[in-house]
Amino acid sequence: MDDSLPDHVDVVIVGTGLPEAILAAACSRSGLSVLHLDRNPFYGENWASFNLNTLDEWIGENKKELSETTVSESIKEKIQADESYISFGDNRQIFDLEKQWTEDSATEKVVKNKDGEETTSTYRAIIEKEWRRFSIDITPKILLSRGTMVQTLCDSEVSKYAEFKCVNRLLCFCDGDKKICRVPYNRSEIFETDQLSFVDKRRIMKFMQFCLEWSKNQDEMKDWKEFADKSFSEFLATVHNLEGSTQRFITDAIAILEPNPTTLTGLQAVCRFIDSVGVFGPSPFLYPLYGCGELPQCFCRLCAVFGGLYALHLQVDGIILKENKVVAVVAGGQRVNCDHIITSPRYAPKKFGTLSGELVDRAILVTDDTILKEEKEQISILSLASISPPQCAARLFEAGYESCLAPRGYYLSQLTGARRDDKNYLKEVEEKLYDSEDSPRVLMRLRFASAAGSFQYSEESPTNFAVLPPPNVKLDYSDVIISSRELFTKFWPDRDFLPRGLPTVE
Amino acid sequence: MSSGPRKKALLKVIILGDSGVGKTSLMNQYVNKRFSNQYKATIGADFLTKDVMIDDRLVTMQIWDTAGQERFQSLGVAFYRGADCCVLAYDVTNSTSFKNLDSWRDEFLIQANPRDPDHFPFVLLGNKMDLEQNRAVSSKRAQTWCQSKNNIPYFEVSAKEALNVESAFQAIARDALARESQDSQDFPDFPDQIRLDPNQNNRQQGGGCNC
Repeated sequence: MDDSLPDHVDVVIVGTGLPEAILAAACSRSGLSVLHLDRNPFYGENWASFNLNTLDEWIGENKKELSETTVSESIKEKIQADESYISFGDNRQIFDLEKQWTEDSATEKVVKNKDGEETTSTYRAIIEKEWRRFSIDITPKILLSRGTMVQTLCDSEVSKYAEFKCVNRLLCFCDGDKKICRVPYNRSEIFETDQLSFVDKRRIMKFMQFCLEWSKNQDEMKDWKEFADKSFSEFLATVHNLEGSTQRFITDAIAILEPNPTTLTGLQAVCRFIDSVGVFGPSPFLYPLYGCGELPQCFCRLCAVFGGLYALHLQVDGIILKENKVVAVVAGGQRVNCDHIITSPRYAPKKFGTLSGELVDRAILVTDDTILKEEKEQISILSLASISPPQCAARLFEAGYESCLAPRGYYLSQLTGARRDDKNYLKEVEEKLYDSEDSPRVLMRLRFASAAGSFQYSEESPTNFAVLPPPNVKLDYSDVIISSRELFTKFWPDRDFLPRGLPTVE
Repeated sequence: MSSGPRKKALLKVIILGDSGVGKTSLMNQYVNKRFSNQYKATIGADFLTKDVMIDDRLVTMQIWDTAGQERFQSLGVAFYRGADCCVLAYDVTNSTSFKNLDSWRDEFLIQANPRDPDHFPFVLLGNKMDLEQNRAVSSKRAQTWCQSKNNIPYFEVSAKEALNVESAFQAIARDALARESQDSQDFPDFPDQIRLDPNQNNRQQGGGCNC
């Protein structure tokens, strides 16, 4: 096998997270030659999904002490007299990792073996035996049916590499935060719910009507402009007589898109929500079968189909510069000349900048049941906005066997929330949700924080070098598409970003 | 949502093997009846589909190319998802490509993670049999290897001369289909998964989501 890298490519992309994968696909699709590298043996960096065993490997890697990079003699030989060299970074992205099997996981459970005989086994043993059936997202997100991610997937035809499920339940707290109940998605669900009085149903319908018209001609609409910058709650209460738990249905539902809305951003969120309802089903949200880790791989495949070259599990050394421009990378002991280098935050040399320092708190729980039982298995989002500071944008995503995320009968409960005031609010929320008698058994728990924020370039950063953002706290993917497209357009203003219409391959 | 025995009309077949053994050519010969002598590392090959009749049953075979991602052993786990059959290919004039079959098979079993690895359908294709004078791997050696792996069916083929390609892929389809009846599904077959169809511009799809 020929294992030498090319001497020259147009673009070197380092890191296979989702933004890098999208950019790689866009470059390759538009005819640029792409070399896409990663030190990990898997695709997706912290956008990946793992089974129970590969999750442990990931935890191990992220707990390792980072070693100082040294510049070997063989690298020095590749640098010419008028060039300089800087090592790629190995910046930590995951913090405060804590994994435990709970006491409950040692509980014995009766199971039937292949021949139908009953034996007992602990929950932990049962789950560990089914390790392959897990697909655990490091960054769980959802797609809005009519959002930019779905649009990009369709336009680029990357959609053919993946399948999706509807997120069929949107949940919120009701009855003074004591109960969890379903938020109605659409007209018929609003009529059917027993959580609302007849009068309130009419008010909500009237408000929906207002939103539909507002989305078409907001300039001519009355009764909202004076509230535009004020709180959305005030607007709902004053203008639409929506108060208390009825108002909460609306604010909690859109809180997962817009946690702390003004009247303007709130109305925009309601419109995005309504717009995506009914596209693929009553729910406005989609989730990738087998987890979010599929998406980076799908974009990478498109890149490869158009000639992009992939090398995972490769030693990625550093960057060669000349007159303050990047001119080559050194990887796998070879020099590859290039015109642009784009990396994920992990690989950015500190000299070129650092992330702004925000953190997203995460908790991943394996449970033996759903937080709200129904006849059929559901894929659920629960807004946690009412029991945590709204700025945290905290929510819970729960799915299981039907999404290919867990063995039959088990669920993954994924909590996400921005860290504020140096405090992990998510921990409190999690305890509140799972500490009561009748809540599902938590069998395994993984907590960590992941680096978020934006990359702040230093003055020394070369103009043909760029860093794509880490996963942010937002529930949907719009920002990811926007940042990849922005960078692509900045570097290649004359080229189309993932345009429609692939030539058919014969 | 009644789910009796699954009537799967679509079979996902993936082809694995070293770069240059002729994976893309084999697919192309089978589906498009074409061969190009010019070798270039795979660009633009994605997957090809072909409808085949297997015992009065019409099935669509979807054959997935590695898209060149095998060159540095960088095929992601998504590539292997839901494969019904794995075709291993080597070049009979290149003994290294034969020696690497073990690692391709292992790679498949690790990544695809089928529940019953001993009975997952593999098929071995020895390509370039038209270059008999350069043969480096004897049929017997290949057959012995196949026997040691729970009797993998073996075909010697030539994508260039279209020798045995048709019958090999017929056998592949048959094996993939047979797996279905063994009821060894590794994951549930969902009646309500959604494919985003670029041409429908995201409009409501008939039967779409059942949620």
